[in-house]
Amino acid sequence: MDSAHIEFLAEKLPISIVPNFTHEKLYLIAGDVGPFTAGIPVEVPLWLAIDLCHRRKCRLIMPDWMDHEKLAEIKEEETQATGFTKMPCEHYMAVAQLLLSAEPEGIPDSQRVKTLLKDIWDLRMSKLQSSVANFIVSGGSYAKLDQLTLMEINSIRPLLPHSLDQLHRLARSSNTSELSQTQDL
Amino acid sequence: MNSRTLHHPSYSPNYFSLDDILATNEKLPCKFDRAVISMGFLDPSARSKDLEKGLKLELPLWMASALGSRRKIVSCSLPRAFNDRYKDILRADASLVDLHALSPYYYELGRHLLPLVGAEGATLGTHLISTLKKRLRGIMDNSLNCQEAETLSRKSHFDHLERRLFQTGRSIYQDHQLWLQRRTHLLHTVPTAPQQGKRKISEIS
Repeated sequence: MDSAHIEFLAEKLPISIVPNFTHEKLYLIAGDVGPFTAGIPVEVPLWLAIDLCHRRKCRLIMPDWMDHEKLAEIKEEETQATGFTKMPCEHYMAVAQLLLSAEPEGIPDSQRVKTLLKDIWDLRMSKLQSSVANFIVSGGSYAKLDQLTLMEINSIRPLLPHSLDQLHRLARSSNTSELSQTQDL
Repeated sequence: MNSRTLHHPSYSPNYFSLDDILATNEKLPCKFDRAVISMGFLDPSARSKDLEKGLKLELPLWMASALGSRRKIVSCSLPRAFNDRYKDILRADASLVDLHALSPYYYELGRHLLPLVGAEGATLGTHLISTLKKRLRGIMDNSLNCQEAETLSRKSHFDHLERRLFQTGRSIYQDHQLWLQRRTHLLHTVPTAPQQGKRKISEIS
């Protein structure tokens, strides 16, 4: 899976917007959206919100975690905890990336928000890498991934199974050679 | 880039695996247990037409395994990279060893040696596994963190199997970097396409 696929999945998350136009309900395959009334907040999928925002048809209402104080708290919590902490949003990287590129003026201190997000990502990635290394060295057979977001899992996805594959091949061939020797005796 | 390009293993059970063919071409020291008639050309320094009993020669793995295990014409010993001295070094700190200089197909070669070396096979098997386990941390960290210009120097001391793993991690890292720069949706022309020029109707029909 590519990062672009994950962004596609993240675009299905709902977000509130304030439209500046009036339109009746939209009937889409994925569900009904609207009706839109100028000045009244309405919840729409992220992809629609981004599109409307590009056409200057609405104002985005940022999710409450897109704020440098909240993110600094999350970063602090992540630094303190030994395991992974729960993220405010399942696709925080993708959502933040889309919102920051669509309407950077809607987020106060957007540069600081960007830096904090990058910090949180780096923290979690280094944690992930060291826990994966421990997992392999200790020869564990299962791992709990419930606090990880899809983007983070994806960043390790091809590498970890590929290495386990190779380890398994080595283990299997050493087992079979042992077996054949006992049969010879 | 699609998901299939990210993960494309091709290794030894696959008959056409190039890595496997190259790995089985590595030389290992063998001793002839009986005289072999008119095969003197295998030993470039020999003058006689026949190979004598007790002659020591380096044979490629594919030949040694064919002659060694069942027909008992030659007996194989482990190549330099698998002797006790190097095993001790790898046991002490596997992550610092230049495995590529030791043997470019270390793990593959080791895997193929297992049935040939008899009783040593069991310890060799566990040794291979523990070496790879110890080195995986370094491979993962390097492939997921280092700069583009550094990749060549970083992977210079990995053996071929480790380079494959490095490349796997690298491709997902590059994909993520591209996404962060918002460039995944851009399409590129194939570099050779502009050189080809326009096609003429007479050529097509």
